[in-house]
Amino acid sequence: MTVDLVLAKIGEQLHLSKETEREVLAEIRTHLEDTVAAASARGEDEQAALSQAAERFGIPEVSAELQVIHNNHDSTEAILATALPIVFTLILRWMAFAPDGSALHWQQILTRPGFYLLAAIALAIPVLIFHRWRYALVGWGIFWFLTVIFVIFPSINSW
Amino acid sequence: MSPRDQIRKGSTDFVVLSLLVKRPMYGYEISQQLGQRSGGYFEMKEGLLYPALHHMQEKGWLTTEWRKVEGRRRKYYALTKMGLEVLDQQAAEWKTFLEKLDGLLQANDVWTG
Repeated sequence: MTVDLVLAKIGEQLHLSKETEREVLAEIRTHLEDTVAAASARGEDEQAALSQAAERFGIPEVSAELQVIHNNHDSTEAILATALPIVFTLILRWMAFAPDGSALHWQQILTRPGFYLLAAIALAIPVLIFHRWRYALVGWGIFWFLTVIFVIFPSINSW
Repeated sequence: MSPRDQIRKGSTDFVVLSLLVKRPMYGYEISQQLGQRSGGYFEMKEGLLYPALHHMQEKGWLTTEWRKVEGRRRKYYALTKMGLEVLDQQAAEWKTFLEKLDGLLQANDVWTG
């Protein structure tokens, strides 16, 4: 038995985002390596120490528990990462379209401080609330994509 | 599950939080400290410890930081302000529980037989 084999068995039962899974496995790897190093320092058999540690982890159980804990969290973040930019884009839509229905062009939008403020908030809020910074960037990307679509196709206002 | 295991499982969050009051620690260190400081009583299986740590992190009781120490990347857990408040509440609850239990057992002469 090796540390990699134990991690592979745990990893087989985790179905989380790559980043979460990598972090969970990195933490368990350090624990197993510490266990083996401590056994070696005491003059004990490293293989036996690793087998005992793997048994104490209870691979199916620990995988299932970690799966439940992180899966809920990842799902919530994914939903928020999609919903937040839509909310910000709706605010932008309200800013970009005049009450008479005419749309502003890029030149006019870019002169408005409110636009820059909104773009900054659209990035800052996800960065502050998400554990995964990539989710924040994905959300910001969606915000800009929808913004560009709104400005290029002002007819969307009639939807 | 034995009564001892039930008590230990029920007190997992409390004992881990109380251990992190003085300084941040990483998982292996927490498991070692729990065993050493309690004479082995609170020695915790890793299968129980890590889900508990991650659960408390999700609840906002613990914050984490990766540090490279002696060539190994370790994930350190530290108490948050919310975690400290939860610890205070749980400490009060456990104190009350122990007082009431003690009173009950003394009244029935269970301690002395």
